[in-house]
Amino acid sequence: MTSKAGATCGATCGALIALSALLVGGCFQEDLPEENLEGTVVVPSTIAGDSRDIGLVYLGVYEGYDDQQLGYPYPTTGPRVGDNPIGDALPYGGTSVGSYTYACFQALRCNILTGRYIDLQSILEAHPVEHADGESVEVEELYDQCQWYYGWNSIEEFSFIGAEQLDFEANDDGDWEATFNVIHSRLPHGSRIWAFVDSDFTSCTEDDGSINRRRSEDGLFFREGTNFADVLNFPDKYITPGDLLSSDPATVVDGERSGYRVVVDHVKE
Amino acid sequence: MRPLPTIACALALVACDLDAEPLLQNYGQGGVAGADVVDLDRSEDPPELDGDTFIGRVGPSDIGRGDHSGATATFTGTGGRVCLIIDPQSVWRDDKWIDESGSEQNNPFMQDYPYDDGDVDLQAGLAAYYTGSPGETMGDFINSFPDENGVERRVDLNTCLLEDRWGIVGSAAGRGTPEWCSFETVADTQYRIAITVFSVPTDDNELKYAFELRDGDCPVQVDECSLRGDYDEHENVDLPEGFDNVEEMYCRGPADPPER
Repeated sequence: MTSKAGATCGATCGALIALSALLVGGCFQEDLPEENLEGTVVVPSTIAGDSRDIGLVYLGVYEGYDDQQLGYPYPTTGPRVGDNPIGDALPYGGTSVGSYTYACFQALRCNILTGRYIDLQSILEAHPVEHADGESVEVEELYDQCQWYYGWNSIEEFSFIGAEQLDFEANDDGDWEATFNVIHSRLPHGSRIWAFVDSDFTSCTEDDGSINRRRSEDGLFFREGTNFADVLNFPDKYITPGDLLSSDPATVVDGERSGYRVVVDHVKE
Repeated sequence: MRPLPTIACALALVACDLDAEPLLQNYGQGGVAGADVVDLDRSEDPPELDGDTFIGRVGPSDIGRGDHSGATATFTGTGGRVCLIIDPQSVWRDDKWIDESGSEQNNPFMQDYPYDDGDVDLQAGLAAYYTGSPGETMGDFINSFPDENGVERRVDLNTCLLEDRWGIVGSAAGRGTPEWCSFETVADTQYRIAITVFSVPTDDNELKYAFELRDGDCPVQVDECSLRGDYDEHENVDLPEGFDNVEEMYCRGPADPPER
């Protein structure tokens, strides 16, 4: 049964929905200048023999390139302000290949990246963990710890391991290559795509990131660790000897929004 | 002529209109007041380099419409470092005080009273880069320049850089808590200090603050007791141990109560 009021509402609501559709189509022309950019990052196999050894890759789109200011490959910077030793690199946009992840033990904070490990065994091979009594943590213990900490019930749920999760693959030259996507960035003609690899986790802070997810049970307060917020603005704060830098940044060309290739080939002394 | 879309757009604009009144600091205080912007350079006793502690008062900001209250002052660069310290009214926690060892302890006589606290943000830089009009509107030091690719870039030229706990600049202290910074200056060059109101005490809608401009670097430690005078006298409130203001009570604590 349909009441008269209901019928009236139906007609009114239909008109409102039609008007809303008109509004969405006709009133919101954002014309944003930001676009997406795709490409690959290449790390020569002569520098990294194992893809697990490739640290977190930071990649930004910058105004220009300048290898003179600091004596090593670096983006151009804006004006120096206050006590900052150099200016803000003012990236138009950027991204990373991999991210810091909490691998269930505090001892692994700021040591484990997504996209680098195929299984738990490979994590413990690269970063052995010991109990307080000196005994090594076994794979089963790491699994149990993660199951408890995250509530995961099968190995497929482990978000930071798996063959499909790996960022880098060996290309035809035998070098390590990973795709990147810079989302929603200004991409002016002539701007440079520069990248660096933080090989020793300097860009990670253990005092930030998510709070212990099991705090209500274990009574501990700690944070899981994450990257500092200004890495793309002030890379010099985090570049240390052994890090890898791009000495020939790719140049953005008008109308080309994919196919870029950034080689990270310079080892910071 | 497309009346329906036109009317719909007009309706949409009305629907998106923001009623800013509940966001105002002075909401419920009998109407909306304009921003209170003080030009300290025109005051009889403006803050001076290495002068006495300056005690100032500012009104509420209308956060909802981006209309900020605050105060500005100008000084001449020394060619060396200067230090700016500001302490907004009054103390962050009224239920704490400093004991004999200098440690913060619970004050068993008090509950926290947040309604006499406020928050200001401190900025400074070359006066030429200041975007506000002293005595008229508050501004900041955000400027822009066209880069080599023709893109207009935003740059913050505030030189009063406050670091957060991770050492990243751009932070600000919160309610009732001092802020400070130091920076190098160019001799004989005009610098502007901008004190922007974020919140004012809700019990009287006015914020009192203590401010000092010092020659040289800032002390290693700055805390609630470094600058004094950022409190209201509450004549009708009885404080324990004979204290007559919360700042003195916090800083002198149980070890040094005033004589009754």
